[in-house]
Amino acid sequence: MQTKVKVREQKILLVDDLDYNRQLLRNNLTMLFSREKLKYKTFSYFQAHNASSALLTFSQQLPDMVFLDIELPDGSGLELLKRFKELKPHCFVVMVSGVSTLENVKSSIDSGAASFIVKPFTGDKILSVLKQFDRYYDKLPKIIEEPLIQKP
Amino acid sequence: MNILFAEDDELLAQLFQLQAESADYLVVWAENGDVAVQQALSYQFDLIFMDIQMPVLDGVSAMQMLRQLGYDRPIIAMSAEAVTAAGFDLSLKKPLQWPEVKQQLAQFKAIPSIELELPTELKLAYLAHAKQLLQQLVLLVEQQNWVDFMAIVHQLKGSAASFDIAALSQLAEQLQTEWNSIPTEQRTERATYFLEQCTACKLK
Repeated sequence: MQTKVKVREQKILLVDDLDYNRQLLRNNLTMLFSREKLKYKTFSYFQAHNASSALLTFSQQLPDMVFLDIELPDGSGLELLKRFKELKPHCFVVMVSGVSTLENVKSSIDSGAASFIVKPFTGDKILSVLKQFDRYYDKLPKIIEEPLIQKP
Repeated sequence: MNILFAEDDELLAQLFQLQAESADYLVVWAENGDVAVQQALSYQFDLIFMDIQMPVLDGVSAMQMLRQLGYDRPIIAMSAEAVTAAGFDLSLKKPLQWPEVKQQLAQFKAIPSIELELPTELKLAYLAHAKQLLQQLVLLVEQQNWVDFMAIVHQLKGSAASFDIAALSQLAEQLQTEWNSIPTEQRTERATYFLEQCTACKLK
């Protein structure tokens, strides 16, 4: 008989000022989770349309994965990335931007971004990030994950 | 199979392009490591050829940046010297000999691309939004409010292609690239031309 360990749903935070972009991303994440062979595929979603609401939601929910647009109406995603990594150093943050300047890419890496997507979104870009998340999450020290296991 | 060829020597790039295209590979040229990183992050390539010595950003740094960002597609180093950096899938000695390159290329496979799922209602909602933005742009041109105007252009550039209106994204990108070099007195004319082009895209 198999023993099932109930692990709590992981959380994704989508940060983009454009509602349609968040919807598109969410649709495609759901589609890829259901269609592709991915290890981690049960997620709950949270959304934010600007930097201040993103910071609030992040500190309340401490998500496992974040898609973070760099150009936000009330601030830079790069600054937000630093705050997120302070609040939860192991959070997997994917920077999203319409412009991939060397400066943006470098400072994303320096501040601890796990990945970088240049808009427009494509299925390949999103899937590549999700596969990377699987590898990343497997490598996380187990002790960090222990408090996250939901006891029945 | 789509190849990104990062090499600062344009003639070498052209030669490779001719050879590779004769064997049905599609080649895009990047003239330095910075351009290569930007292009690679668009995930349209099955394979990258990376010269080691390049201006702006050298090939090893470009490869390392991509790997740090989880880029998992093959990257082949090209150099006259031995390449010791970890992270390349293969290292080829320069000058490249096409028969050898061709043989090595056979071990790499094209990566099937995944279509973005775009529900009709979401596409229609975005189209309505884009039309509204274009109307706002008309007003902003009248007011010569270029800061807000370019902010919207930037948004169109980033989002329109995701919603299946790549033409609009391209027009916005073109305008954004040109904008800072357009003299103030010519901005209205250029902006009006941009709006005419957008109207010709017939958002349906």
